[in-house]
Amino acid sequence: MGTFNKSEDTIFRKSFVIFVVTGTQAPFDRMLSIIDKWAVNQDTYSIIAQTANSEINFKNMTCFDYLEPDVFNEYFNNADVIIGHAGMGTIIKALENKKKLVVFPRLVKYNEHRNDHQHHTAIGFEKLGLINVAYNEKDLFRYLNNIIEIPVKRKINQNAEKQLLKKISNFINK
Amino acid sequence: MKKILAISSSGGHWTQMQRITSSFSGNEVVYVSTLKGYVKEVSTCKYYQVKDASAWNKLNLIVLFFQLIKIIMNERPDIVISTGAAPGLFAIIISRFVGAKTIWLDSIANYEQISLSGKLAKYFTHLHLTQWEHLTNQKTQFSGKVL
Repeated sequence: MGTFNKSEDTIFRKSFVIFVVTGTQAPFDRMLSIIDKWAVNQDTYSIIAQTANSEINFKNMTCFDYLEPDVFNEYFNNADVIIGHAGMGTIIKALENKKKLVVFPRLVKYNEHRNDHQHHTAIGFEKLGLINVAYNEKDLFRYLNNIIEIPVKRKINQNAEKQLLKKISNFINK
Repeated sequence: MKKILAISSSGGHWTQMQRITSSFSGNEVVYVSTLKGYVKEVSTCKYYQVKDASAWNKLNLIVLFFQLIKIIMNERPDIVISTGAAPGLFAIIISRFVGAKTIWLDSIANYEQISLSGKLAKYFTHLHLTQWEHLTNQKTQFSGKVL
């Protein structure tokens, strides 16, 4: 498949943007297919997806196999909502930038990852009140049908906890 | 001033590394990761790109291993720190042969158990950290999160 489905000048033809993020290591067709299916019946959002070399030709979103980090950051920062796999890059970036985020964990039973750590991460972060999680298609549809109501979680600053930084710098400089 | 080799895979591992860089201040830092574009994010430091490899692609693991031997022999770091995954584990093992002190900070993504590379790194690293208090044991310490 090519780098994108629609011509680039149509990407922002609608005023609201959903940016879909799968990480760079492996495709995530289950999540992309759900979003593509949902998108058939909506006309409010432009959907841009970073698809990690998916072989499916999604009809209702603008797809990129891979985006360079600076381009990726631009799409990320300009989006109204991020829908992503439960990768830490996605989660932390959303928290840093106070973005609306829904994560959809990769599962080993669909061969989407080597183990189910994304599922456990999602549970752990949900407990901390830091993310919105869709565990299945029904959950994801519910969020997509009511994007306005998706809560924005608290903003975090750019650095790790002081205690951790001190531990590392003490070790380095001893 | 010490020379620090800070190595991580792309995505979340890299993001977490960027959140601890203030603890490196006053030292020389060399970054290693798997995406070419990251060079722009650490423009004041030296950056090496290595092969992206995991347990999923064994051949790339071998290529990666030899790339890292070359970098580490060339740079001779005093400290090697990694937030995972495979590239960091390899770098920590190799750097023991040049006498570096090593730090493993297991990714905050590993909530249920330490990652596979983190479990292996435990045998080679001087400071082994998890970001979840319930995963600590005799060797693995908790000292806060990258958030």
